Amino acid sequence: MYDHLVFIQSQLKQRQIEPALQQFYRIELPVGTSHYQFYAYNELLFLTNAAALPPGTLIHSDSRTRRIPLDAQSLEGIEDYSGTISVEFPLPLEVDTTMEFIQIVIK
Amino acid sequence: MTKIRYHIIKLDVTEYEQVVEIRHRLPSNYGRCVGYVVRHVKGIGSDVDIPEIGLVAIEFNSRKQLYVNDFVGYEFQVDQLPEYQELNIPLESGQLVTGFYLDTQKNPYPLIDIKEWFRPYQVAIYLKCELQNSKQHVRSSCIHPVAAEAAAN
Repeated sequence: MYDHLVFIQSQLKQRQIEPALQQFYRIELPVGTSHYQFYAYNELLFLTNAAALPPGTLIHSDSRTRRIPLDAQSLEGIEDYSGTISVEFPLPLEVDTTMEFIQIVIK
Repeated sequence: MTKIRYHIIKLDVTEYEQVVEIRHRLPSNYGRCVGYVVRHVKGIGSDVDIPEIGLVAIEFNSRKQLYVNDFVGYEFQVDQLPEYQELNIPLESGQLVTGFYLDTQKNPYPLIDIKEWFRPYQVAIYLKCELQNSKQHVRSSCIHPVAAEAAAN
């Protein structure tokens, strides 16, 4: 099991990104949501709870796109998204769902 | 005179709405990327043009810079090859080109199942790059002088 924060710090260092702020960021999506779009310009959002999203969910951003696989429970890696981010669920949500990110605001 | 090299990254799209990851290492003697084209190569058999079949994002220098966000279309008849879109990206030696291609085709036959309608296809990213000016390029054999010497013998 690796440490998310250590991983993020080393990523930022390798990519020569200087953070101005690091904090947790949550998006709460109500029952019935099938599509949600939000913005993360000049910042990186590391998704920390991919396993809580339904398999088949498509997260599409300017820098990275990921479809949540069936075996999401086994994923340990976290990935960052930035720019315009849209989340498309395969079916409207049947339960309230929270997406949790570690937000890095870039200097 | 600056030497130009063209580098092709081919992406196979085998499923509807597939996300294809790009993770590609450019030769270490490339010094600058000066242009790109992304286009459908083979697979789609439509007899009309499709304005958008997918979206592409390309990052250079191991995710240090996101430089390309573009859409890819399909042309039934290619009368003229597309011109390179201009870039001016200094390349760090041996770093990764990363990104993704997302299939965004819309089913033109809503009554037909996607599995019957979708055909795998191939998209290619063409990068136009300048070679580094230095005359001596680092070769992997230089890392192991003993191996290089043995190879020379």
